[in-house]
Amino acid sequence: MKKILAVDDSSSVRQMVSFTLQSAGYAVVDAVDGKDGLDKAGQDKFDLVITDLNMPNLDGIQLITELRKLPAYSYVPILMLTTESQAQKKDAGRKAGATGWIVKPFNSDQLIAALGKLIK
Amino acid sequence: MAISSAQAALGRFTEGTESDVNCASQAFRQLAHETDTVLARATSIVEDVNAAALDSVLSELQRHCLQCKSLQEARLNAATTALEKIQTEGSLLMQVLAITHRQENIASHLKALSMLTNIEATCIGGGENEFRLLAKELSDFSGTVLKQTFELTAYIERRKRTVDETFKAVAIELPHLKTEVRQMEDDLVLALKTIESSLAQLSEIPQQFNRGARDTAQQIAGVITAVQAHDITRQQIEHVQRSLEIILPRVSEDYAKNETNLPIAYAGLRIQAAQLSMIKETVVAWISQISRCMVGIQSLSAAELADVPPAMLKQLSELTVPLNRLESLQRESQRCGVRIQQNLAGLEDLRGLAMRHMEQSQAIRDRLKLLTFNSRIEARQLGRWGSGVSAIAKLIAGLAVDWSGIAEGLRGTIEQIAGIYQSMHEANGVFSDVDSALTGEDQPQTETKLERVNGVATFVSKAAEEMQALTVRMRTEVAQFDATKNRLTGSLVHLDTAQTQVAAMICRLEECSSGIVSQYEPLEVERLFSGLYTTEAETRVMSAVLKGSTSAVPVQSLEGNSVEMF
Repeated sequence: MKKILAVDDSSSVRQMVSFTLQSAGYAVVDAVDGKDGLDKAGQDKFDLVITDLNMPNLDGIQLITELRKLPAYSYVPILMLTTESQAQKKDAGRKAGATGWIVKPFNSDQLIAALGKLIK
Repeated sequence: MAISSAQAALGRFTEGTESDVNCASQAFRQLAHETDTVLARATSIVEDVNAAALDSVLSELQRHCLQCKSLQEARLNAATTALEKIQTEGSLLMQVLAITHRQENIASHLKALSMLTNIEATCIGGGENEFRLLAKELSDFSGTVLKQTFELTAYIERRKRTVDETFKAVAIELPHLKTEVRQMEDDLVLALKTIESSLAQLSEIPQQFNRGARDTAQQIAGVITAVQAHDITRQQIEHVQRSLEIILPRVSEDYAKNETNLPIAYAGLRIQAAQLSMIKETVVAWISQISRCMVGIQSLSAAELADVPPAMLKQLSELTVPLNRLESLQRESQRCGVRIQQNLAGLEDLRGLAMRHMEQSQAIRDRLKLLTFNSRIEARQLGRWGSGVSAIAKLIAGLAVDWSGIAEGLRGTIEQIAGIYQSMHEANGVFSDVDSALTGEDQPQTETKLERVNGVATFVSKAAEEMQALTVRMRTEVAQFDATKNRLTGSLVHLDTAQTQVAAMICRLEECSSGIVSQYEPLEVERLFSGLYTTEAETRVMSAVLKGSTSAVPVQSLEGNSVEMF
């Protein structure tokens, strides 16, 4: 079963992301902020990471930058799930190594379809 | 003070809603699992029902019943005709008996004539002579005729007994069969009509329930986006609170002395008022989504679906009664057919025997004519001593004429027997194996189809029970969530308080300085506040206020966004 790491400081968003992805047959581990996410990524191998942008203790951009330094996460898809949609933020995310960008609220069916393509 | 009150109200809103929204996400996550289970069951019910092709079951049943009914009616009509013919055959047999008795009489007369001839021969005198030969011939001929006639009489009497028994049996069976067929037809019509409505319900109700379950699943998906929307509004409220932090010192007495501070504060307050309107509309939207979902779940019920199968199973069970009766009627009517067939075989024998007897009768007639001729010759040869023989010759001639008449009567009777044979043959054809085999083959197919419907109804019943239990649990869970939903709705009062406080502050500033509306620099205001905003909606609201636009407050869509791939 494919495993996904979901990082967000909002518990309700973590719950909804977990529920959506588990319903689609994925195993989900969640983290409460960027640092927690980085620790968990180091302890286990994930097939995809979904992270919020604005979080305490390491924001989303910093998390992606750190993950890309780890050999195990050089090519793992990382999606940013955030309220922000400004072009310069997206650009920063892309440069840090994000694979895609989702503006909240996400559409469940389209998120699952995208994951299906990213994780084969 | 007003600004601080507004900030406090916003803080209360955020605190109050956080745990309730968490509660909502947990509750609806559970509900979503249950809805998925309900939907999977409902889908399998629909698939099973569609596979059973219930429409075709009813039409097959109706066709089979109609076919059987037609066959029974044809058999009853044939049996009625056969009964009439059997009765006619009885009458004809009596006619044949009368004929044979007359023939026996003639044979007896021939015997008597033989004795008379012997007496004449004695009177004439001299040992063996032509008359003794004539007497012997008459005697032998009489014996032969009697023998043949007795044989036919014995057969006819046996045949009459058989025909009478057959008539009696069919006369008793036929009315009973007619009554049974009528009753069975009435029962079938009623049973089929009842089951037609149940079959329609079994087809439609699962589809309706499936649609309801899909709608509920979609509503729950809407709650998922609503929970995310709460996270967005939470951030937006934080931005409003931080904006108010920026504004607060600009409205204090010291800062107010600076000419630019108050206009900037005024513009900022107007922006926050617009942001609060947008936030409130968004909160109302996602609370409405949760409410709609709750209503959908409350109305999702498998009760109607659960009601159909028990009624249908009962009706299927009741339908087997007339169907089994139909089958047994087929067998009963077939027994009637066996009697007709046996009667037909007997008729064939009778016809053959009667034909042979008629041929023999014609031969006897010819023989009698020859004897008459011989007797006259003998009488002429005897001259005046031949008067007795001449009288005998006349008597033989009379018997020959009688015999001719009888043979003609027998011919007519045989022709009538042939006519009966033809009618009976046609009646027997109705009971042929072909027709019976056709309906016989249909019966197991019909039973198989009914078993299939039975299976579907049983499956639907079981699945509906499970779904009913699930939907009842879901309704209980939703009812338990009602208080949370009411708290969420009640929390709007904090947003209202914040809006009121900000509006009051705006009014106060407008009263202090009448030209304040146009005294601020939009670019400066934008620079001050835009750094706080992370969502496109906030930026649009700010731009609209700074441009002086009076467009409607944008409400953030709950449709959800797709993934943008880099």
